[in-house]
Amino acid sequence: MTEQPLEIKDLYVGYRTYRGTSKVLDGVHLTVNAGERVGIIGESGCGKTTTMKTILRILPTNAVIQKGEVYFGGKDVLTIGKNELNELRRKHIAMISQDPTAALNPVFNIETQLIDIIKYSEAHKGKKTEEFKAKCVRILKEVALPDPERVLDSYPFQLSGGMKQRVCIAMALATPRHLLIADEPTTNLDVTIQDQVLRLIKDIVEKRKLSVILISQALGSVKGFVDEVYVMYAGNTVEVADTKELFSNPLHPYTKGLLDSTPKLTGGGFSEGIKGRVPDYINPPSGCRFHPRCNYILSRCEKEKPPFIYVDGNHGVACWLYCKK
Amino acid sequence: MNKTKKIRLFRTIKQSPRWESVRRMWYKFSRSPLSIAGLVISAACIFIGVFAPYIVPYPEHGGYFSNYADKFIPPFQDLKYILGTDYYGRDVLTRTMLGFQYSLMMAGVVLSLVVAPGVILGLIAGYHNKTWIDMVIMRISDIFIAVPPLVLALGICSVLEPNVFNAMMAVSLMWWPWYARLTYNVSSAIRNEYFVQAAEVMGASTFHIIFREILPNCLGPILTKVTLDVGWVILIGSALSFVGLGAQAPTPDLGTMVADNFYTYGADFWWTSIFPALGIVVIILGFNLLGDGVRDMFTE
Amino acid sequence: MTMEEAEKILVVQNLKKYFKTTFGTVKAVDDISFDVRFGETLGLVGESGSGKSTTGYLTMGIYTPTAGKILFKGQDVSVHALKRPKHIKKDMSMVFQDPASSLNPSKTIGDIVGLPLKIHGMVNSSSEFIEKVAELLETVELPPERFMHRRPGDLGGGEKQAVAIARAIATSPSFVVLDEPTSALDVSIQAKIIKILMKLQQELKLSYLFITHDLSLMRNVASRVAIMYLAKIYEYAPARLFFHNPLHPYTKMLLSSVPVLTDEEEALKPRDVKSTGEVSSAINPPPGCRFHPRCPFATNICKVKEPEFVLTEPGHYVACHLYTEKS
Repeated sequence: MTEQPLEIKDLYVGYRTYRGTSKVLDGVHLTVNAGERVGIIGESGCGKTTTMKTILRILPTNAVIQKGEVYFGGKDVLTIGKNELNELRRKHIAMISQDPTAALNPVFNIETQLIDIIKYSEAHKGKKTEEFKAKCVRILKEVALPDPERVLDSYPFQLSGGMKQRVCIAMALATPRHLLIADEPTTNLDVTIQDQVLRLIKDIVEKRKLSVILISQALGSVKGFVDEVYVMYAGNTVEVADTKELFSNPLHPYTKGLLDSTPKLTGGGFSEGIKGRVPDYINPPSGCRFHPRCNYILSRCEKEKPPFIYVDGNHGVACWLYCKK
Repeated sequence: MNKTKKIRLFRTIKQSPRWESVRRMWYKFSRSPLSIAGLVISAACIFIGVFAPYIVPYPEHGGYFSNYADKFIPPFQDLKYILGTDYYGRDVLTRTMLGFQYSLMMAGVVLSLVVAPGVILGLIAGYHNKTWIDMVIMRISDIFIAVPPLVLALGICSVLEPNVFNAMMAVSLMWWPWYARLTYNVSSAIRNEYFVQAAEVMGASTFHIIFREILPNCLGPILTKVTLDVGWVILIGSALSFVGLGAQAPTPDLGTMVADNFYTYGADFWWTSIFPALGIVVIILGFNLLGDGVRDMFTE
Repeated sequence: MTMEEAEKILVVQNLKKYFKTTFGTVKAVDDISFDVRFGETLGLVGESGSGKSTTGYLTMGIYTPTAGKILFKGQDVSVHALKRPKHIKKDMSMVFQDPASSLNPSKTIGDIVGLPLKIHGMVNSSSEFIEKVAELLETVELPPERFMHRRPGDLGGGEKQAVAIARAIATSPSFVVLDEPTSALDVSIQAKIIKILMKLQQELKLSYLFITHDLSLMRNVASRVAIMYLAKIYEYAPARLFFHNPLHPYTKMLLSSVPVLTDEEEALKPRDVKSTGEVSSAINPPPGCRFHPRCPFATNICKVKEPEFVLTEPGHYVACHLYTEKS
């Protein structure tokens, strides 16, 4: 199967609440080419998970997709029918979530859950259940789980956090896929286990040549893994660059603030952080959504929303500081 | 800090967050049209229950009254007696509406007696989770729960004189453990939250922790249960009356009316028993739907 | 009290806490000793199952110790909080890990922050109450007019934690236990909260017991660090020595797993130990040194005998057989 790129264009998504409709995503764009690894960084509430859920169309019922297109394999995911959508979810895109405990069904053992996934994929139609068990053991060995037979027999509550997350990775990659979305896969795990799981994902991705979207708040874990980084703030893509370029030469004030606030292992104290708080999406700030918190504010920032422009090769930013007009 | 600033803090802003939470709760409640329907029906039932003696067409039909000339008039035929009359010539509409008063009174009395002690015991047991206090309180309530409710009520009522008062006592006695149990479940979960531990560590008194920290967070399930229980208590009360252990004739109690008229006059004069039965159904339906809405109000 | 002891606000000796569960006895804290000096921040580092949070709770009296002593300003307070004298409770406070559940959702911020003032009788009238609470909110950079009458549900994570801090300093304590105060917060807000904590420590001369699993954070906050693994302390050193010269293999494993941004931080990370394996169960910890199943340098003695603390350089203690032979 040919690998197909993902392209999100100008996406606007909101949620209906008791105070009105919130405008969360405000023109998000994202491009993932075949075999490419993309990281998204941004803090909680900036819309990263909403974007990912829109790709798979698993948004909650009170969500409203106001505008925009999500192209995968040439088709707009937002307009395709149910059968095609199921095919997309079964064969093309896999997602790993933040909390492995919530992602696994507590009343079935791991074997049942794995077999369920394999059974319904095209590649194994018509095969018998016994063959599936051997495949399950193979899959679990691939994610470096010791004693796969025991894990298959266990229920999720009998496994540790790291093991559950590995099972989730195994479930996501049990069948051939093109795109893996990893939504903060290691945030809930211990630091040493985080390291192991991230190395595991890296190995598998390299072996199978998958495209990956890695979302994380730990900037350091994104750095060692992805080729290109997107920075999101309040539902906007504010900066895009190659990994090395972004960390050595951040342009957007938010990215600068974020990198400054991260404590360094070498010491050196703390920066001031970024003043203010994440905006209220029911009445978002006018113009650039970051302007109330920005230290480099111009008069234009409050009135007009800055367009996203490419400043230097692959390095793009949405900020009036870099628009020469 | 100067005086004007102080006053501003106290008065103006104090209103807004309370109003905000009311608005939020109303939004959650009104999402479901059935809850609104429940609200309307329950309000109508309460209105009828409160004002029945003043709005019924024939208030004297609620007591000893007979007018054999007008007996067994079928419903929807005579404008004077819209729902028909019974054996004694009493207007069925009047007696049904008066029956609402009795039923709602029973619900009101039973719940006022039962909620406070049950909740308090449940809170104490939940706070002293996994100690002997918890065991004692919960086992006592288990004993009351273990006996089938109707059997307990029947037992009490057959020993004592069968009247409305004793029926209410009997129902109260088997109702309180459900509140203890519900509150126990909620409060034992809350008891281990950080904010309770923070209060303990600060040096707050046990009274403060139970009633000022834990209780306000238990109100959701408790209020939902109270609303739903209005219907249930009325049903049990009607069941008692149905077997003759509640209100006695000629008291216009819905259950008594169904009992007296259903077997004796059955299908021939169906309106004498069906309309009171429908009255029971309407009350229970209204409060059930309202209860669903109350539960929605407290869920995120 | 000797001169040395007078410097220490908190002394913990041979502390143990065992929990009886249906699966067996969980040894959450198994014979640890440490101290906190006046005005300093002691950092307690460890992953899940290490017992660091339990240690914090034991210090505050939320749990009763199974064995061992806790001395606060020289006084023995090794009992449950409910049995401790009120003046001790006034002097120590705690900031919890999850800001959302550490504030009662049905109360207003003003009531939450002012509760300790009421309990210890520090205010005499409602106007004094409002004044003091407003003062506290201003100290943690939350404008009182906007926050006093709101509910915790309306606040963001950082603001909630700021409220928890305001509550913790309400009675002007001398000692605060901070249990992962910023783990649930975003990086930009974390910086703000830590800055507030450092400012308060300076102004109010507080001593902190800072519990976290984030080593980069610890580097910038603590003056001394102790690392815990499976209920025991394995290395205990001033911050600079701990990070630039880590000795215990577990310390090295932890340091090598930290995600970092700059090249100089990368250079600081130990090269010889990579993260392997998982934490064993606390009910049946491995015999001997508890880290031996995951340790790349484990030898026979490690599987049998528990290592003792050894002083390798001034202030730097390590419990590892690699170093017991040398000294």
